[in-house]
Amino acid sequence: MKLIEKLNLQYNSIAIIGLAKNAGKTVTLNYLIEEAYESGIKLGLTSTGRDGERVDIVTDTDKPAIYVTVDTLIATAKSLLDKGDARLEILESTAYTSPMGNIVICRVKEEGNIQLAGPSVADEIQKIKRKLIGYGADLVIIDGAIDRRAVSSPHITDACIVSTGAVLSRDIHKVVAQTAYYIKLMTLPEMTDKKLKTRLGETGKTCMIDENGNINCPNIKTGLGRVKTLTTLTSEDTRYIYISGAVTSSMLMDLANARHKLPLVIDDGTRIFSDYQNFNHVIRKGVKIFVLNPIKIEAITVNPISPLGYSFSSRELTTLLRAAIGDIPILDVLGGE
Amino acid sequence: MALEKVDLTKVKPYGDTLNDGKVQLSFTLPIPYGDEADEAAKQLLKKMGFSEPSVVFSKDLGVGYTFFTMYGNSSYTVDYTKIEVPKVDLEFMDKYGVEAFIEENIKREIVVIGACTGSDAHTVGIDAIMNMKGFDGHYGLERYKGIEAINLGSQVPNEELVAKAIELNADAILVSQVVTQKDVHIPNLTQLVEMLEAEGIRKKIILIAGGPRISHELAQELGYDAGFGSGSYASHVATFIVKQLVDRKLV
Repeated sequence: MKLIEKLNLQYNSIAIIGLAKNAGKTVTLNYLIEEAYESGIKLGLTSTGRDGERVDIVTDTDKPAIYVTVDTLIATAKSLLDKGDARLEILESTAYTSPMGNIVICRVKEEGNIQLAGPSVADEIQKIKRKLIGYGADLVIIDGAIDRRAVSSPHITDACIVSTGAVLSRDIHKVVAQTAYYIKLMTLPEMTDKKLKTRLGETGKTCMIDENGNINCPNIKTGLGRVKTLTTLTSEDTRYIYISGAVTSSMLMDLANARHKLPLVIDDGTRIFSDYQNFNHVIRKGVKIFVLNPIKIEAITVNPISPLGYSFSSRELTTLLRAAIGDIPILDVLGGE
Repeated sequence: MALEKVDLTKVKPYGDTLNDGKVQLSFTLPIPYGDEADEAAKQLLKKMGFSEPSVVFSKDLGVGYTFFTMYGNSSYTVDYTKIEVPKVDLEFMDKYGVEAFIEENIKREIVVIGACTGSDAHTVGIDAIMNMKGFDGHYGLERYKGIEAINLGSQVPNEELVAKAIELNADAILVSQVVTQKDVHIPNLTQLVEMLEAEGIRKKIILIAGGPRISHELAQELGYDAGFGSGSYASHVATFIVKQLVDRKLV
């Protein structure tokens, strides 16, 4: 079965996220568009950044165009409508704005190239996604920007595809280690206590949970940098610490150095901001991390070529990745191996 | 003095006469100083599309490297009439205009936090926008009535900036990035966006990046609301903030 058919059977929306710039997100998008065309799946497309422009504004390298077929639905900025050559019918001018202007929803009437730019705020992406489904898209694909991961949060999309590639490092083993780390973050184990999970979801605030399931929310506006405050408030009875927002390297270290090494609960893997050396160190020190909503990764795409002028063997990169990440399908969307 | 008419569709560098294409370059080659080095530099310029390359200065840097200053004639032209640069598209108000706008439309003090983030210690940009005395005859945000401007200074970690923004209920965050070699600023800038998303406050904040090599287009691609490059003043940034607050109903 084609990847797109599998995705369409299970989900309404997926995100394509890159672990770095030029990791191959747009190539992955084009691959899925082509598969969808062959399978007769009607796609809805939008982006959290800007896609389809021919030259990258940061690295000045060539970028792939986005070629769409008839009946595809797109949500993009009004100012970009005349930048492509696909013929479009405007269905709705929305109140949501992108950095490039108001977002309009269009249906493709005649195939051709388009440029995509959607809202950069994750909340608005979710609303645009609903609109695209409302207009009849079978599956909505959201192309992430640069290395931003927020759209892969289960609050926004049902599942995601991760694009990685040679651009991460000149050392193939570092590419593999970093990719494996992000995959690990995104697939952190789910909190098994269903009742507690629902309650934490409802509370939505940083808190401590004791063995009787009592929730104690300290009076702080954010958990950022406040782990020491939290750990001083724990007792023998505390079973978990829940942090509702971002968790950084230094916060993980504070957890690892605390008197009671309590398991940490977070919303999902996009909340962790740490490099992998530090993360692994903290895990080795015995900190356990659970998520309320695990992120489903349906495939990993690799781009063995870096725009910085070096490349790896596609087979070697794929083989090393497979050994490091287990059974998630790996695709080289450039080489097709 | 009558100037020769410039063909804006074929613009070339100007040296002594119009369209002579004269360019001055300087660079270092990792080869020892000498006649061979000069020749190598000339050949390099030819490959870059310059005709009549000449070495006007070369100096031994020791360690087998040579520094050059070169002249050459560019053979290329650009079509100036076709150039489009995305900019913050607003009618900018001056300080008094912004103050009146706040009093009339926002009716409360707004909080703006500024910082040089990550490893960047170059505060000249953020200071020019924030400091009371301002820069180039334009007062900084600290002097604006109706704006509480807080400058966190240099090398501020993203987490500290976000925590401060939450603590003070900031309306806008200004991030300055001056050091941009090897694109070190990019992951740092996107991390801030992601952290604001993780904390659930991205939608409530006007997020602005600034610096000599930050364009509006780049900032938008990174997930910022606006980018301000060289030649921007506090009043530009302030106009953008107050108008966005009203447009996005964040008053």
